[in-house]
Amino acid sequence: MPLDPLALPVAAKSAIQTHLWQHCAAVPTSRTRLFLPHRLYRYLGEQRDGKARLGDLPPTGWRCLARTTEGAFVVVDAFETQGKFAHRMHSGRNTEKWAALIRSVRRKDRWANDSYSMRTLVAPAIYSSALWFAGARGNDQIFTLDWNADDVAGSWISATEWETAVSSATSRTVELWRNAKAVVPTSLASTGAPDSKPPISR
Amino acid sequence: MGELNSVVIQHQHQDQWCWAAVTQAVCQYFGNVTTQEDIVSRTLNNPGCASAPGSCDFPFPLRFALQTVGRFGDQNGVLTFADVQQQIDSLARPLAITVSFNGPLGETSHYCLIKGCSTVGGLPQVTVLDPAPENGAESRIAYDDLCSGVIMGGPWTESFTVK
Repeated sequence: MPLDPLALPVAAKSAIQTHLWQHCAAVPTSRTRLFLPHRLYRYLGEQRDGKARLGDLPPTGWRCLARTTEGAFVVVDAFETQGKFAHRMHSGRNTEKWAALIRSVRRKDRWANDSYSMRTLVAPAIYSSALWFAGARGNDQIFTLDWNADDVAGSWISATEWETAVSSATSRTVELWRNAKAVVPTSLASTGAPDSKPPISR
Repeated sequence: MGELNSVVIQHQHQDQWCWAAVTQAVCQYFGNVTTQEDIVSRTLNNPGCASAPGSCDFPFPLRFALQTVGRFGDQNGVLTFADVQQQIDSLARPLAITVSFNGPLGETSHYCLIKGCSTVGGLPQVTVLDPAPENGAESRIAYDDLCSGVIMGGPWTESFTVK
């Protein structure tokens, strides 16, 4: 079995189309085409036995792409909360390349041994995102997305590697922020600049 | 109600440099072109950050960076939509904000910049510039959804006016 087909529930699709119509003056709502719809998952540091566990993460929303009337790609996230949808529409940086990369990955010859559903996995605390191909028989595969100013690329890692890396990075980031918030420069009010270095040893 | 179209943000050059990217965007908007590396070096009083930025890749309170470049106005909690409108529409100043992620391992934060506000379908909306590399540069978000955290993964907790 290859990849599962991508589809949005009717309510989510309608909500996203309405949002696009309101914000992009797009074509009539029902004709707004949505590309590559899939589930969105978020990791904020949940752990079990010292590791992040993909299987413990709840879905938080839907993600898809669309074209505005000006022809630009936008990425739309929809989060269902209390019976309504909350939206975030990303534009600008690399959205075209984002779409091309997803299409490229979905064409790979690595889907023969299981049935996979594609998801986006974000870990906002460590600025990480990945495509998560969840296998029906547990053969999950993770394609981490590496962003820079001009491009987006990616690399394959196993689910176990992702669970270890993201858990470790989140713990480290929490520690770094704890240190940052302990910074109390003493002469800011009088000089306008901090006079102490952060208490961080690296 | 409008957008400060000349406010632009670069992605953060190091993993933890959202504070530097937001400060750079503020400086650039007011006509002071500088780099994130320079801002970090000056804020941390460590010239080595410019030549070896990876050695200075850690978070830092935004207010100190804004103070270092002379752009810090005031620090508050969440501003009302009317206050956001005042900053954007009346004063033509972007508004820096903190989004806080409170996960089981502890709290982390992320700094962004609000560059616009409007009312769409009766709902107040803001335009957020996000230096995080995994997001598009610009996002439109309902004001209430930014406050609650449902969109970003954590709520808006602090605001920094700039001058």
